[in-house]
Amino acid sequence: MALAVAPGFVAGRAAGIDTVMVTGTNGKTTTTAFLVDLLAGVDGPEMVVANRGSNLPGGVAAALASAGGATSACFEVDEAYVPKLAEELRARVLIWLNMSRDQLDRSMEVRKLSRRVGDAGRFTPVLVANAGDPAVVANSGNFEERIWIAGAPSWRRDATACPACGGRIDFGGSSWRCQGCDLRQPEASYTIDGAGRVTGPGGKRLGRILLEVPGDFNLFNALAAAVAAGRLRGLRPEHFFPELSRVGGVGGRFTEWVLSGLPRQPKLTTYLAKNPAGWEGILDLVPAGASLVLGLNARVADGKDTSWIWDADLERLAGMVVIATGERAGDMAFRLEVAGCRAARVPDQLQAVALAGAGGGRVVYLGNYTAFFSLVDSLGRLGALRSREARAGVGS
Amino acid sequence: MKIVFVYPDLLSTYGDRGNALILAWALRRRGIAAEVVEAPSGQPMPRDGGAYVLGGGEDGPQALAAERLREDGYLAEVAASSRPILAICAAFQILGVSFFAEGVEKAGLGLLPATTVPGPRRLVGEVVASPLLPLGQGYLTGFENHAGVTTLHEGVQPLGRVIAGGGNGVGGVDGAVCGSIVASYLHGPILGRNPGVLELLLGQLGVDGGISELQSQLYQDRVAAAHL
Repeated sequence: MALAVAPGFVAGRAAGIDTVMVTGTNGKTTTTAFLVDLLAGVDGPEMVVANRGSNLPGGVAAALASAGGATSACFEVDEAYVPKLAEELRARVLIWLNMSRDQLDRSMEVRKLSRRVGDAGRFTPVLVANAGDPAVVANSGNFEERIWIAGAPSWRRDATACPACGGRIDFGGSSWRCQGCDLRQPEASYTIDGAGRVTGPGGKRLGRILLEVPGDFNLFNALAAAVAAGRLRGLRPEHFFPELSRVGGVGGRFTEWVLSGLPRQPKLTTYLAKNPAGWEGILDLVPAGASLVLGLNARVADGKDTSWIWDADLERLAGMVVIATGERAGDMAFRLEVAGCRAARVPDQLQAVALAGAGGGRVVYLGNYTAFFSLVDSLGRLGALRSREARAGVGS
Repeated sequence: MKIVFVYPDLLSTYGDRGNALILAWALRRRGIAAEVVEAPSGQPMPRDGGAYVLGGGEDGPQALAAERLREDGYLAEVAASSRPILAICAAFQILGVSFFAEGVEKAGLGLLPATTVPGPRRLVGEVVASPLLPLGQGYLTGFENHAGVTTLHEGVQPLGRVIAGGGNGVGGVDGAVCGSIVASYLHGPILGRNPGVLELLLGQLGVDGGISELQSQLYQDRVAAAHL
């Protein structure tokens, strides 16, 4: 968004608003949606200001411009702008989900970016973060209070050399530690397992989070939102667990559709992921027997370098028929061929989805940023109906 | 045959792992049993590799990788025994005589007569070049993302003449071919987008024949996108 922001505008508008920032490579938008919902339940729906996907300073400023009388704010923030916005917003809590490679052609490399995010601790007192990610832990020293969460195993290939000393990180066993220095996994205050069961300080069982959206990573994101909302409003995280089950996907993420314009009316599920860690997390969710369509674009918002598709373990799809689509369908199709898939190259995304659904079975689509939104925008032309709508107020 | 992917913990930032996957896949397509073996840093390099593949990485890990490769010493024996070594980006610099990481000059392995210094600006974007070896393809394409300027010493054969992008950042060329070493700044990965470079390495392994339809289409896609 091109927006000329007067100096001091963000700081002025944010004064008196209790702000939580959400950053990390994967899950910012969905975590922010969880958080908005939880804080709306405490403060009232009209009292929470948030950005949706526009996670650069202009997007934050635009949201604040229309935030008359808000009492709390939830902003997802691009990793590179975290310290700048932490200072201007005087954010009280930062949720830091993870660090993995994403769009290296325009971002700083992972290590430099992690150091920069850590600088936010000079302005924001409380960090709610992923104990499983060495890049996060190594750069958390500036925060006054650190609340560690452990959950689904996180992406590790970017962090196998220690971010502090370059030694080898040993991921064997239930927690990681560096073999060369003192860096090790901190003890988590809250942990969540794949069934959504949450354990709190002292091993106390706090109950269970059940979600409408799938994936271990979303359980982790939901718990992070509950812990942050609780810390901001002086409530226990478990207070929010029932509410979390009612939050749907945002902007077509994790949405189910019925392709009612096709003869056999197949079902389609749409997923968005932008980098290797995200893709592997989603591919774990693909049910056996589904027809898989993978969409790849390489516009500025996606990162113009598509090499990252070779860092995702697509070999787990070996033997499957997979349709490659999007503006870089050719790169994806060859990636799939090397992975041992029976790959088809269908650059037009609607045609690809229609072809996948021709047999009437379930279709799963996974695309990166602009590929995903271009498909969601055009599904109407194929006569698609959402069978599970994102909840009003979250899915806009 | 084992395709050794060298130091995935340090040199695996830009999808260059794909080169090892593609090489093993291409061998299997030709009926040769082949697998990718990952060789983490700090452990002795596998001696039984048929080819060794190294990729890009960030400054800190790059300096560490150079140190550990020098301590290990085995890559020099790989080169001496004429087994193929593919080195991309940070690894291209490491194989040379010297390079810079985080502003400090570091000794390279000296397997490639080339010297790298920091450039005036980071080179990021699509590269198009015309091959300076008979590769059976009209253009080389790839994606570069580096801040090094690599000067090839007298007599070293570059891989291509740059038409668009930066490549080595000096002399209007990209890459180097020296004995069994093939080096380049091109990610993509290079062996995916450039079937001719894949065939060059296969040729060094004494294997020939046949590019897949999907790879051929990918090559054509990327050349068409270059709007030459």
